Amino acid sequence: MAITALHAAASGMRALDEKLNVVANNLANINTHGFKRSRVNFEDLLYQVKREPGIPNAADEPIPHGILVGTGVKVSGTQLNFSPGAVDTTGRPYDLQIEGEGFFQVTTVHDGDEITAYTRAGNFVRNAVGNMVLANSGGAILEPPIVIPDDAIETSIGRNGEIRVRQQGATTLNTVGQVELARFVNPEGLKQIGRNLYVETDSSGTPVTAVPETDGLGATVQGALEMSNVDPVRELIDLITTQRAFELNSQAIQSADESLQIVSNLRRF
Amino acid sequence: MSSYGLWLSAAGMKVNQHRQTLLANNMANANTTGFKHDLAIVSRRRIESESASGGLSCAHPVLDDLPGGLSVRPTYHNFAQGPIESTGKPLDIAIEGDGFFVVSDGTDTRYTRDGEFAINEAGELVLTSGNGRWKVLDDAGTPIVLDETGGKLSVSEDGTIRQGRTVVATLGLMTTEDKKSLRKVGENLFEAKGAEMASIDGNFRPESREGSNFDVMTGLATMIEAQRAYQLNATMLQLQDHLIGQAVGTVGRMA
Repeated sequence: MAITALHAAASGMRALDEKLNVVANNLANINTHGFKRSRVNFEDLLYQVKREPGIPNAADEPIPHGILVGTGVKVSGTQLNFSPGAVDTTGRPYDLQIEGEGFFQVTTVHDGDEITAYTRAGNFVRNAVGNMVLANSGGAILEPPIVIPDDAIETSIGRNGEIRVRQQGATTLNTVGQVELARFVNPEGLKQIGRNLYVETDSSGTPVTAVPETDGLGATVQGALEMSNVDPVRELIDLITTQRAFELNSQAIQSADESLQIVSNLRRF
Repeated sequence: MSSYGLWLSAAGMKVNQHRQTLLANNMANANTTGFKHDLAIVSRRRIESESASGGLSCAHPVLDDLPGGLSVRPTYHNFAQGPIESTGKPLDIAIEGDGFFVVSDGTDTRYTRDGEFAINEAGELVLTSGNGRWKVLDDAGTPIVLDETGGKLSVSEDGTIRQGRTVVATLGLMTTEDKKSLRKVGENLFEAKGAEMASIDGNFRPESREGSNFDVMTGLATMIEAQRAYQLNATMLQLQDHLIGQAVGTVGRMA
């Protein structure tokens, strides 16, 4: 009966609805610094085997095709795309952009526990104690913690992450700390927890931390921020294809409904 | 001439009508905060000899080959997590995971997932449903009262309510293992009929609301299925009526 068609089309609409949610999120974050866009992957569901392919016929030769009817689609996963975003030059001393691979490490509180999170957003500020904290809703502290002295007039952060300040009365710069970046075997396996942060999972692998410009890590550029890597043209095309596919699936539902109606009206009394 | 088939078709129609009613309620509540959708449970009705004696000792030679039709079983509520949407309003709280807010109107205690709170004229935190008579309780079981001269309200992820920097209270969160004994009583509330409710630590999402956990797409497909099944049963009913009519009117006619 057309019941399989009904549910297959409904599964199509559900999956496309999920894709629409992901595309909408990408577009909403088109101006979020350090944001990485997501893509939805689909996979088809199990097939009903009405006849196995390769069963021998009367002449003992295998029949070339079987009869296999699919039951729909589902979302198999969402993949993060870590291609670099464009650079926004701000000129602010605590804004950092990672040129290449790597994540900043920050300490923050999530679900009641203090954890280490990772981010590409480098919009740091100096807090009251002198630590560098991420300017997000939670104030995640840069790890390893750095204290910038009260009387620092000028801060210079090199491409290798070395933080040097010029204090009141001095003519040379002193090193007060070092930024370290982290790298993952599978960054797409990181879990997004919002607030521009990612956390380590079993699928991302353990982080390898090092000084910038060593071990395959990128350089830290002071006075610049990485912008979102969302490409509006690609997202709009995805929107159009998703919407049209949604419409096509609704046509399938209507058609299945009409066939059921024809069957039930076959005999009138 | 057996009209047993007539009753099977009637049972089929009744069951599908029940499914449609439940689905219609689920659809109507597709935007209700904290709504948990209902599942229509239908089971095969046992054949006469099975149900009569519990065994096959008084089996009927003809009726035992016929199935017993369908019957409706008690409705289950599906407590799956609904989608959490950010609203930006400080008094909207969503629960992520297990647990219910605890509310009371002075006499009865009820439980809900609807976290769209409001403040009444006495400064108490209340639900927006039920004309504001349901007060939200904290983890000690007392109604939460806010100070009108206090600072800006903020709720943190562990349920602590603060006004400015002062802690006012912590939101109460309770649950039970025996979810089957939680029945809906309207106004977005559940009543614990015979269940032991225990306090737990929860994950709250401030400035968010939990949407309905009903998936409209599947609901639509199931609704079409139920409607067509109803129609097919009605057609069978008409066919059987026609046959009986033939038997009585044509075959059994005298003169």
